[in-house]
Amino acid sequence: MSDKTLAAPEFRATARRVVGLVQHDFLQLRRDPGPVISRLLMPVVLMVVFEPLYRATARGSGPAIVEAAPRVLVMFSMFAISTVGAALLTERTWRTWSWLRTTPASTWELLAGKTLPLLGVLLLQQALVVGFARLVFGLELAGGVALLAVAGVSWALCILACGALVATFARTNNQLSSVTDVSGLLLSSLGGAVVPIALMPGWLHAVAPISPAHWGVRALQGALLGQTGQALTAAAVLTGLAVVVGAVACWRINRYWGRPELL
Amino acid sequence: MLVGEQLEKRYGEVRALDGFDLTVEPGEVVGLIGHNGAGKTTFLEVVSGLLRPDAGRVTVCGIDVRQQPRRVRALIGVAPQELALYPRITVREHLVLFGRLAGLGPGRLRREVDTVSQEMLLTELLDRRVAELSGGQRRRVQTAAALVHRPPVLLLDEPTVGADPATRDALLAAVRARATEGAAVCYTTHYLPELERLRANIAIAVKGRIVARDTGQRLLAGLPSELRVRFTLPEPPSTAGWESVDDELRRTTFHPGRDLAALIGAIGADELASVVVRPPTLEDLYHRLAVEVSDVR
Repeated sequence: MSDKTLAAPEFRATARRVVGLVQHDFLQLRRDPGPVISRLLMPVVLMVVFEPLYRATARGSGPAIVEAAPRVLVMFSMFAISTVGAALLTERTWRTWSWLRTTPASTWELLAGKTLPLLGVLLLQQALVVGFARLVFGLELAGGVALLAVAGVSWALCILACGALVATFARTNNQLSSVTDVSGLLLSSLGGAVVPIALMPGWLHAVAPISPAHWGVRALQGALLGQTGQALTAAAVLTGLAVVVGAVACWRINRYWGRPELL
Repeated sequence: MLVGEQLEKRYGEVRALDGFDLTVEPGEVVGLIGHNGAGKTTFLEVVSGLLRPDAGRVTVCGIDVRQQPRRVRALIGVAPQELALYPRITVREHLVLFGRLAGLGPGRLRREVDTVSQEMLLTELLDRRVAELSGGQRRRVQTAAALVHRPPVLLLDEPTVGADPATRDALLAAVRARATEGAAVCYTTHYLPELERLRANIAIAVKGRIVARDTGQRLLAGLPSELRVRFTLPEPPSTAGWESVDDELRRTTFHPGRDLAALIGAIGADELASVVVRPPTLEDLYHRLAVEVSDVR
């Protein structure tokens, strides 16, 4: 049987390996929960601060909380790129990635095992922000939970792929922090996750779509406002971006990773 | 069985593997020795599928590494040279992870974790996090993770570096036991006495190729012994063919008895204090081969 054939027993073996890796990574997150807790709580805190600000500058497109919730969510998920990147980079600096690659697990399985727990964290972050906004500010889910889930999952996948790619370029945690801090702030601002695009200078309107944050805000806002077309278009862009960026990250990991001196 | 044939791997101008040939039979321990940069680790990384050779072929149990790397990886157990463990994860969790990745079901996994922890003296440490362990204990965890699924081929890259005597004893005993059960073991080390304890055959790598491969006894049979003679005299007497080092005379020879008799005949036995015949060692062999290869190239 060729390596590329995925027969039923092999599929079960793949599933067992991925589940094993996911459990292993959940254990690691549980034993060092600080960064995750901060990523979960900070958007909620900032939303409380930002909501009056957006109410003051409301431009009639909907309730202020529909402006605030997706933006803080997107901004803090952008910073979560560093969490994803650090999780992968740590495997490299600890040299555990090379060792894992000597097992029957494929690169895809290893990446799935590493990123699924983080996907869970990102989705939990979204659920917390939306739940809090609904409870405290009366946020309505006009597009329904399913549309919001599509928007949220596509955004989380995009963040995961970006984090994986950044990790393949960074050699140290300091490099990773510098890149993710600067790019997180820049792309959040450019994409309208900090200040609504309508309030930004005209030339920035044209530039905004190059930022994934722009599509993240559009997907989540569209889902909250019930604008299905906007939400699905943005979700499609984010998913496409996740596939392309994820594929490049996988290629780099397959080709170069494991022996740092080869990069 | 592990077979590497005519392997080549370059890093820029450096030839890490340059026609590297090595076969390890089931039940055999091959001690792969050589200076740093001789190609030992590169060879193990090629077998593990971590590196793609520029030329040549590796098969494990008849399966080509380049064509079916994942099937090969299910047949090997690897203990890398560098410690590569998760500090916040316990010993048991490490063994379970590697056992599951190798495809062990829950029942067998439990049994193998118990067995390998006993072999590697880890039973008392199973629920301790790696961050709390000493360097030697971490070495044992790393080797145990390579052994846990009982692979038919073991690749152990300097597994006793920095290990205390207890760790070394446990590790060597476990490796020997696996070979006795039929595993093919490729074991790199700079501690050559370990290879005698493992009853290993020897492969010597120099500049990316194997320059000698045989039993230790046969490889050493072609080397001279060193004869060291001390006298009670204040200075060792000057004698043709003998080197004076500190307070003794030394001579490298294939005929120590005959040479000693000749020396005593020339100087007399009255002043003789001690005689030591040092048989050739693997280190002597290695240094000689390294020099010969350098001269040839």
